[in-house]
Amino acid sequence: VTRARGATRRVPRSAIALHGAVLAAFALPGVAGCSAPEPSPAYGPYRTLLEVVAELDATRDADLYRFDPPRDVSGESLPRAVLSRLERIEVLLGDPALAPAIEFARAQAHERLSGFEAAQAGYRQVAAGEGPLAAAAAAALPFTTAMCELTRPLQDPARPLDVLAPLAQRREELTKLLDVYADDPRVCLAWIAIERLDVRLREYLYRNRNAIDDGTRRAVDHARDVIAAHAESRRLLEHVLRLGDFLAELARAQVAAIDPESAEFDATRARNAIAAAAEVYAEVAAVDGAPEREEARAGLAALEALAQRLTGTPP
Amino acid sequence: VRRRFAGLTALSALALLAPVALLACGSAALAPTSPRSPPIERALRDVLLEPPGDPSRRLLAIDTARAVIRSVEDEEAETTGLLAPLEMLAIGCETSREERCARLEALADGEYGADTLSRRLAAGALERDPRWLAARLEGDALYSDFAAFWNGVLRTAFSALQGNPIGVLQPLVVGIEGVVRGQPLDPRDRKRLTLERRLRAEGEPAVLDPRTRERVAALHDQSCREALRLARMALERRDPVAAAIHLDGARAFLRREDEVAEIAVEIDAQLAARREALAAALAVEPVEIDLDGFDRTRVSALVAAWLARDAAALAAAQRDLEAEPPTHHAEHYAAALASANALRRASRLGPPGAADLRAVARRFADTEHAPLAARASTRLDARDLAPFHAAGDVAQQTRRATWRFVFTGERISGDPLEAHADARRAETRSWIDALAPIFWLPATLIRGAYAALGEPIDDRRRIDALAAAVRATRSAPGAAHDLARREALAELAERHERRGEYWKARLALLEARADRDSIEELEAKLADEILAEGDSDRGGGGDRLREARLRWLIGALPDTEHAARARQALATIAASPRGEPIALRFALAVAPELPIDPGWQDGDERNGEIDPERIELLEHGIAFALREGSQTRRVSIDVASETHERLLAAAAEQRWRYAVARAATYHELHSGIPVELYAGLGVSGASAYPRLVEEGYDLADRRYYE
Repeated sequence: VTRARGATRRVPRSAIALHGAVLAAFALPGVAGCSAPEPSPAYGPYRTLLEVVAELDATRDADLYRFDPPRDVSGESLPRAVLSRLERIEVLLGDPALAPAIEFARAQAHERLSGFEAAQAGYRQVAAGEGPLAAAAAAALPFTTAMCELTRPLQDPARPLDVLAPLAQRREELTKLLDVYADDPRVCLAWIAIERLDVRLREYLYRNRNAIDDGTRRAVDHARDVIAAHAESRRLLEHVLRLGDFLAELARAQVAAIDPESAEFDATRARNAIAAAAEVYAEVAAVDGAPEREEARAGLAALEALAQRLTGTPP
Repeated sequence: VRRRFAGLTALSALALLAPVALLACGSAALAPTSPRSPPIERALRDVLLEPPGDPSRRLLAIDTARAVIRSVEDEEAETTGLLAPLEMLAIGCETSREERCARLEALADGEYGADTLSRRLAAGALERDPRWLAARLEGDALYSDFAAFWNGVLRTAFSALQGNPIGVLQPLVVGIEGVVRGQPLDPRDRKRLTLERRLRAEGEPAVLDPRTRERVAALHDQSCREALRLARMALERRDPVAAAIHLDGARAFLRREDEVAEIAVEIDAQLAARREALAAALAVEPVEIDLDGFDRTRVSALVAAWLARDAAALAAAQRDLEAEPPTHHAEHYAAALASANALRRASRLGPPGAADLRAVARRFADTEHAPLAARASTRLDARDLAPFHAAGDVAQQTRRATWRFVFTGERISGDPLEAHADARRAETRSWIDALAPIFWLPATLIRGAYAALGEPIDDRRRIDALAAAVRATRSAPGAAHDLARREALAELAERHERRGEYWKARLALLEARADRDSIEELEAKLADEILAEGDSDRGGGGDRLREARLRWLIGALPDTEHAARARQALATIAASPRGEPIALRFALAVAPELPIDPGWQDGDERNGEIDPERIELLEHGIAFALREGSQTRRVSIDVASETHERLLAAAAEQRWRYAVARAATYHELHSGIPVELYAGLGVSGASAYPRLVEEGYDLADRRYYE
């Protein structure tokens, strides 16, 4: 039977691995059979802290705006894994002399997750102490403080359009930071904050499209603007997908508002809406290596079924 | 038949051993600080207190720490475990990408100790480097080409020894084929393209050496051709939207612009035609059929009677039709139609109109308009049976697809995604295909045997069609389709049963009102399945769903052996541990003060034995099962809140370490030279020989490249 190319899963199959496995298998009864060893002596938590700091340090300068955030080998978000491990190590270690190291690493991890308030508190705590880490924390503080100020939640507006001005002002202030900290690898966090503002406005406009004049057009236009403004972002496909979602939802709304079997139903209009959404989804569905591809494919399949519902032919 | 025992054995053994090894090393990693070696503690503290932005100072501190560790290495064996994370930290200070990768590779290869965790962390860090991964995948591609060539040589030699001419010829043909026509892109190729795009985005195109650039350019060209081919096939299917999608994919490579433009024009033309067709369809106005010359009054009376569901009026109209048959074909047609519908409706109202549709045709059998009446009744009949006819069409398509498979080896299920895959294959057709007849006869015989013994074509579409037919006729049972419906349900039940979908099979049998024995037989299989699921899933976290299924089983099959087993399984679930699991060694490492009697781990059950891998961490303490001879009792121990906090941290760390142990890294999946023992029975006869396994792309994101 000829095996199709790439059809089967490949696993490590080496003579070396086999020999190792056989030897280990002989050793297994010895390992499993013996009673629990004495609790090991020192250095454990130190070692674990070294591991955590080393992993975090290895991704220190990663561009989180343009590329996917680092994950640890088990697939978890690295800064998140670091934070939870640091918490555990703190419980297990009990060495006050290492508190600055832990706090500094924690502040870095929070910063990676855009948790600027926690990062700011951490850096401040370390900066208040002594030693080289204190100086490093003091140097890190201005950017973190600025980001902390510029990412505070905005108050809900009284009228739908009242949110636009504060959002625009905040975006402008964040844009200024891009120049000030152009040489700091953390400037990607400012880009991320700008992108989040744009996304927030996009969602806001879409959600309130019925309360805003010409709301649907504005929402869709802004969704397109977000795509253009963040063409280099790692979230680009997500933005395109969202535009597809908006258009698909508008198509669905047409079908839901007017029964396709009724005389008032405008089949051409509905078809155009479906085609517009399908084109956007198709753009994402053609990209390899991203989970968004699968979402877009599912979206295309759903639109196809919707179109079939209009024509009345069974799927 | 294929045996690949070597790799699988090694993998299984490693999978079994990894947790044990981790448990052994885990206790060391979690041990509380001890003041036994103050110089090392000081050195490590100095390392950790150096700021990450100052590599020179940190490297200096790391070197000092290494020196201190090495100086006490002989006294404290555990200190060797510190070198790997220190090296990892030092690698973080490295500015050269190549150097960083080389050092990480050394770490992953175990040069700084055999500790699984450190090696896996290093392997994970390596995988995050797109350049390193791209180079490895490039190497895999070259190796796979070599392996394919070498396997062909082995196979030819083996067939020559057997005196099998087809076996000798086939690897040669396949080998030439591989050279002459390009292979379709596989997930590894697509991943390579993605990595190359990432490197370009990082501004590192210069890092690719000329040979690699050439291969990447070839991949781009291949990818572009594939997208164009898919676009053309979509156009052939008159699907311009799909064609546009593929064309966008081709445009991304900025190649073959003439072909792209040509297809774009065709897409626009098809889209325009589609728009025009739609507009024309919407503009069409209904044209009144010429109905001159027929007795409107008579037909109107009949239709009125039908609409009013007036059984007496219908009977009168029927008598009238029989007494004076219609003369005009339109009149006759309308009358037959109305009459048939009326009778059908009336049959639901009660006995007076209980006539079969075929009776309509019979009433007019002796008149000159008999063919028209028969057509009318057949049409009505057909409308009821239409869903079953659709299911029949699917069956016919499946039969055709089976024959096609037997004679050509191609499997087509009608799935549009498969059509795309076929397009990818078709892209690489060449004159080599002309040699296919050499293997046709033996291959057809084997495929024929396969088709006779099994079902090479997936029957999912047939099942869908049968289910749709059953659903469509569920609310309107009638004589015309009762038989077809029963048959459809029986086939549905059989197919579901064959696929192991016993629940659906049972529902189909119940709806078909099958005999009790058949249903009971199926329920027994369903019960076995539920009980087996419970065994395999124990401890897997699906307790709620399992409990619900077991409860259904007890209710559905009371007083049976299955119900007794289900009750037992429910009792086991209720008694099974619900707390956070933690291994005893992990627990003792962080809380040596736990009152665990050493006698509980000495292998002597008379004084009690504990399962060292299964301690439960409860809200205020720990619990475990203590085995004393044939008895097992549950022991709960309260612990101080500070101890409990430490135990919680240790349990979380254990969970993380297990997750790391389970993770598959590229580095480990590709260690050594994979060899497998191949045994096959096929066109080239029986064969068995060792061969090299071609490397694929198996990381977790493979599905996004398929």
